[in-house]
Amino acid sequence: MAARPTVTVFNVKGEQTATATLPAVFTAPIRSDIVQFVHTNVAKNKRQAYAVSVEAGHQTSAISWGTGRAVSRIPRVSGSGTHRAGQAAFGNMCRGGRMFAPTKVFRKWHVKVNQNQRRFATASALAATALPSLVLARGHKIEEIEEVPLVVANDVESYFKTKKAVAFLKAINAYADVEKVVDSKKMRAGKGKYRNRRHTQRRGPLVIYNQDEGIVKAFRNIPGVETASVNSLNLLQLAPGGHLGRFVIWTQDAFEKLDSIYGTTTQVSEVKKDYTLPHSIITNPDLPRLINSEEIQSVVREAGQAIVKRPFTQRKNPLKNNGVLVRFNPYAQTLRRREILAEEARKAGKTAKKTSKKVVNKEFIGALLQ
Amino acid sequence: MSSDLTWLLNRANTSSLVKRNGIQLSKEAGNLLNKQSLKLTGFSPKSVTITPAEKGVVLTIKKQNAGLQVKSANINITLKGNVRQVAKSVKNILGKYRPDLVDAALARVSRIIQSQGEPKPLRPKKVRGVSKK
Repeated sequence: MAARPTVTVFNVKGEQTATATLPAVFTAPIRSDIVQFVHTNVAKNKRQAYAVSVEAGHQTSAISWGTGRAVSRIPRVSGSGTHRAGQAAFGNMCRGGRMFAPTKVFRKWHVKVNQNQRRFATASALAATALPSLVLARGHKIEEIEEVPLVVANDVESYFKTKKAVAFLKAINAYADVEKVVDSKKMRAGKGKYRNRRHTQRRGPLVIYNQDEGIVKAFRNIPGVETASVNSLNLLQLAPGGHLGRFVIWTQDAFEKLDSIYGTTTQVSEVKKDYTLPHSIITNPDLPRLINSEEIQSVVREAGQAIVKRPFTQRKNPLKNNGVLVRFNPYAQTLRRREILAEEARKAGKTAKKTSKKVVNKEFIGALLQ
Repeated sequence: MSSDLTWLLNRANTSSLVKRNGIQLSKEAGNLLNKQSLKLTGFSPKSVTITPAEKGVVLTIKKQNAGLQVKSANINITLKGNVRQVAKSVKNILGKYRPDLVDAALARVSRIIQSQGEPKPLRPKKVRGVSKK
């Protein structure tokens, strides 16, 4: 892997104070397919069980009338005196019947995802948070911030007032992303409105800390801003919707702890047993750089002449166009020239008109006609 | 980060992608023709952004050795003058940086500067027919 660059650490006023080395997890391969797969399956683990009532559609003592009554053999409600009597029951096609394949609470709600895949996805999502183009493409307003990944001093961890947290976000020019969230708040479409999901809004920055000394409470009332402990990072927060490139603000301690949590490509993690980071098979994915490299350019053949399929815009008829005719049949030119010369000579009277002399062999003809 | 890998990750879905009526457009800042394509994408590490200034345009290109910087990775160049003067500088700058985007950049520059000038006075409408005396 290429040498890892140093990252600037900013204090709470947005001034540069120290530097830190970029942890190895940020060089993990970015695999959107793995992140999406893991995200869809991990997201299922938060579901709550739902089902229709077990009794629904079966709370009647219906029984089939059997054959011979000129009606279908579906169970029918017994008794008389109401309209309900004699009506079909139970079936999924019946009014008041149960649904087809009634939903059960004992559905398999949780999905197991392989541990290594989950770790790969998290590492991949973390690596994507360090690329400005991906964070911008996710829609975060990071144009005014200094660096990505954005690392700040540990003082933020001991904030316990939201007012200070907001001032801090403004100082590091990250508040534009919060404003985007505030502006984006809309009424949810559909039935979620009356199921305690009334509004939708974008996601803002994710603040990752090492030690919670009030930081969670300080940030929790800022729209869109989420906090997470570096010890338990969650893919659902790092890549919401399975889309890579969440805007992450790190505290210095949390940032420096990443190497011990995830290990490097060669060093085993201190927390995850026998875990080393995945690494890309291709060290340089820059295609133009590869093509234009000395090694490749020195062995490729020289470019030949470009093949032009149709040099002319319009096809010319060789029977009408002399130039094209001559190209096909060079003798045509000689022939034409000779014709012209002969014509001129005839006009000038140089050649006398041939008068054909008919030789009449009277004897021969006479012999024939006899 | 290579531009090819960024494009592969951003091709299918970005926040600025607008898929509607069978075409794909993109509304990010650095996209000169607002088309979703590898050449024009504004999320490229070598993008060109042209925005209107008070008078003239601001041409934003990216530092190639920016590292992790975001804000200071941008080089903002304010260009003033008439369309021809600005176009000449744009050609000079982009000719080395992104020659394939010169035409698109010039189109944007000329429309921006045109919009900043005095609007043409409307021609008085000719009245049809003979007016009554």
